[in-house]
Amino acid sequence: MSSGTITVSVEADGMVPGAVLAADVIALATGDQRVIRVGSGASADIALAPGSYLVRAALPSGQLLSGAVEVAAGATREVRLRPRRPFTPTTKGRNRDRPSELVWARLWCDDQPLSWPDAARDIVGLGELTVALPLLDGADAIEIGGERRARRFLRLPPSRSCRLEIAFVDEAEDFDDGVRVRAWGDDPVAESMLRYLCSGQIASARALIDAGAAPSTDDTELGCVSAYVLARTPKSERFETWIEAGADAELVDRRIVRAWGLLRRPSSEDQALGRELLLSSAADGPPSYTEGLRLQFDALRRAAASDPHDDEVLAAVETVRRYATACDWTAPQTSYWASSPNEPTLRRLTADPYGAPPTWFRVGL
Amino acid sequence: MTLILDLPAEGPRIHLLAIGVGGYRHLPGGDEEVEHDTLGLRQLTAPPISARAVVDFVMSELNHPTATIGTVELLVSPAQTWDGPAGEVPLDLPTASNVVAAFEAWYRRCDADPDGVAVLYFCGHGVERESTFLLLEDFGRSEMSMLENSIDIQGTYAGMAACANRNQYVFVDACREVPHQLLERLRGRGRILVDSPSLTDERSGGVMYATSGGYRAYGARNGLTRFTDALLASWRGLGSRSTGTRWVVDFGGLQTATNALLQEDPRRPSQTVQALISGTAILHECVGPPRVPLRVACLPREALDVPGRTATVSSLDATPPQELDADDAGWCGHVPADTYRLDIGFPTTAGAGAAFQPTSARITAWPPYCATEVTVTS
Repeated sequence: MSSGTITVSVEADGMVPGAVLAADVIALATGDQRVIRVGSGASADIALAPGSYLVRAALPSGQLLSGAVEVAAGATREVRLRPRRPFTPTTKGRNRDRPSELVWARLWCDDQPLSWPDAARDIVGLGELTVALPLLDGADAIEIGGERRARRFLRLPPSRSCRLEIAFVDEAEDFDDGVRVRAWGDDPVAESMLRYLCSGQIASARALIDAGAAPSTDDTELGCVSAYVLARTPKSERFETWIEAGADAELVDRRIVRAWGLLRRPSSEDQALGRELLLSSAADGPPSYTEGLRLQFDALRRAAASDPHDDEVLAAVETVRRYATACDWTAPQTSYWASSPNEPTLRRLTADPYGAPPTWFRVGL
Repeated sequence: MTLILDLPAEGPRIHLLAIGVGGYRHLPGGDEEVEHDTLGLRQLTAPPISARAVVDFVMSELNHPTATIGTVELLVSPAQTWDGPAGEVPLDLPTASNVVAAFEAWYRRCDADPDGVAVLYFCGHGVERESTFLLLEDFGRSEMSMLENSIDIQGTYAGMAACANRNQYVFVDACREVPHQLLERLRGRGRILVDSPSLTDERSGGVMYATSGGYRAYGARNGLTRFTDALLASWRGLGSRSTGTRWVVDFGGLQTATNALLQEDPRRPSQTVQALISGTAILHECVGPPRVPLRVACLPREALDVPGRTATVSSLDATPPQELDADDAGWCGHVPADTYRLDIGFPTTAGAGAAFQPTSARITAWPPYCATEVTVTS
C-alpha cells in the first residue's frame, strides 16, 4: 500500500533558540506510536500508512501541543504545533520586582580560580542576569556569591561555551537564600533533553534519543545527558550498548552512569568494574549534572549495603555525602554551597573570597 | 490494626501499603508539641484523605491484568477508623515503630508472592538533604537528631531490590525541599527500612515522586493533594494508551500523564513529577476508552459574550451528540477517547449572536487531556 506523509512543524515563538521537541505520531486505529524529532521554527516529515493520526508533543513547561490529521495514500498533510507558553517553566518563585543587587562570580579550573574572560557578555533583565561565556577554556566550575548571598559552586557542562543564568527567587519561598544559578552549554539537543529530564518528562527526553541517531558515547554534553536519560528509563539494549561503548569515558558523569549500569548486571566482573569506576569518580570531584550526583550517591550506598566491610566504598560514600548534603537539588547542573570546589559546607559563607578577585555583576534592573 | 484487607487468592495478589501522615504530634498544634524549632512545618489535612483515596481505588477499581487484590495495610494520622466488614476498627498511627512493623509485614507478603504486585504509597511531609526523607507522625521529637523518625526512601527503595517480588511500584507524595538556612538543623539520619545484600536489580515498575528534588508538593486543605489527584486520574485511564483493542496503563504512561495533568494549568505553582522507571509492565487495564477532559477555547473571545452560544461534540460513529459546558474560555466536558466533530452554534435571531457564524471542526480527544482552540468567523 502506498504511504502518505505528515509534515510536522513547530513555531519558534516563545521557544529557546535551537530547542528540539519529540513529537509522538499516534495511529488512532491501532495505537501504534512513532516518534519524530522537530526543531523549533523547523519541520520534519514522516511517512505513514494511510489513516488517522494524532501528532502530539510536550514542552518542558508542561504544555501539550497536538494536532490530528487524516493521511491519504500519496498525499502530504501538515500539522503545525503552536506553543502558547514559554518552552520551559519559569524559575521557581522568580521575583521580577525585587531591587537589583550586586553579586560576584569567578571561574575555576582544576581547583584554581581563573581570570574572567574578556569576551563575556552580560544581559540584565527584570530580576535576572544572563551572561554569555563564549569560551570556557577548560573552566569546570563557577563560583557565585554576594554580600547577602551564600557562596556556592556550580559545575559547568562539558562544553566549549556556556550561558550562565542568575535569577532572584521569591523571598516567601526562601529555601536557598533567594538566588538561582544555571549554566547551559552549547548543544541545543542536550539542553532540550536535560530540560525534559528536569521537568519530569522522561518519556519526551527518551523520545529525543529514540528519534535520533544512536546516543552519543563521547565526553560531551549530549553523551552525558543521553546516558542519564537511558539510566532513568527501562532496561534497554541501547543502554547496554552505551555501557560497552563507554570504556574510554573520562568525564566523571559518564563514569558514574557506566558504573550504575555495570553494578546492576549479575556478573561479578561487571560489578567489580562498576565499583572501580564509582570509586574513581568519587575521587575526582562532583559530576557536572545533579542527576549524576544522585546516581553516584545511590550507587555508592548500594555498594556499601552489599558489602558493609568495604572500607574504600564506605569512605567514598562519606566523600560524596558531603556534596549531596550541601547540594541544591533544584539545579540541573551540580550546585552546592562551599568554601572551595572541594569543600562543600552547610555554613553560610558570605565573606569576599580569597585569591583571584571576582567579577561583580548587577542582577536585575 | 493496619491490615484492613487480606483476601486469599490462587494466583498473584496485589499488596498495598498506604501511609498518610497529616497529624504530627511534635509539631505546632500536635498532642506533644515540642519547644524547639521543627523546621517551620505544620499539621496537614490532605495526607489521610489522599491515602484513603488510593486505598479505595486499589480495592475497588484497580484492574491488573494478572494479579487480584490481596492485602491492604493503611496507617494514617490524625487517628481515624476504618469501616470494614467486621465493623469499625481503629487504624494505627504512622509512628516510626508502627511503620517499621507494617513495612516489614508488607515486605514479607510481597517476598512470598514473586509474581504479585507490590505498591507502596506515602503522603506527608518530606525534606531533601542527601536523600529524600519522609517524616513520620513522631518526627521532630529530638532536636539533636531531627531525622530519627523519618524514612530514607531512596535508600529503602534501593534495598527493596532484594525482595523476590519483581513488580514494585512506589509513590512518594511529599515535599522535597528544606531551606538552606535550616539544613544545619536537620541532624541525624533517616531509617533505611531494608538493605539489599545484592547489587543486581531486576525489578519492573519504578518509583515516582510528587515533585522533583528541592521543590514543594501541594495539596488542597481538606482535599486530595494535587499529585494524588492527578495520579489517580491517570491511573484510572488518563495515563493509558491504546493497543487498538484495549486501553492499558503502564508506569511510564502513568508518570507522563500525572506530570502533564499537574502542569496543565500554568497559573498554579510548578510541580513536576520525577520518576525512576524500571519496567514496562501493565498495571491497569481500563474497562473501555477513558473519559478525557476536553477544553475548547474560542477565538475571538468576544464570541464568548454571546448568550445562547452552544458547542456539541459528536462521535464519528453517529452516537448522539454531547453538549459541552460553557466556561470563561470557551467550553469544556469529558468525552470517551475518540475523534469527534465539534459544532459551535450561535443564536440566529438578531442580536450579538448574529455577528458570528456557526463553525465545525474535527477534534481528537486523547488521554491525558485535549485542549484545543476554535476560531469562529463573523
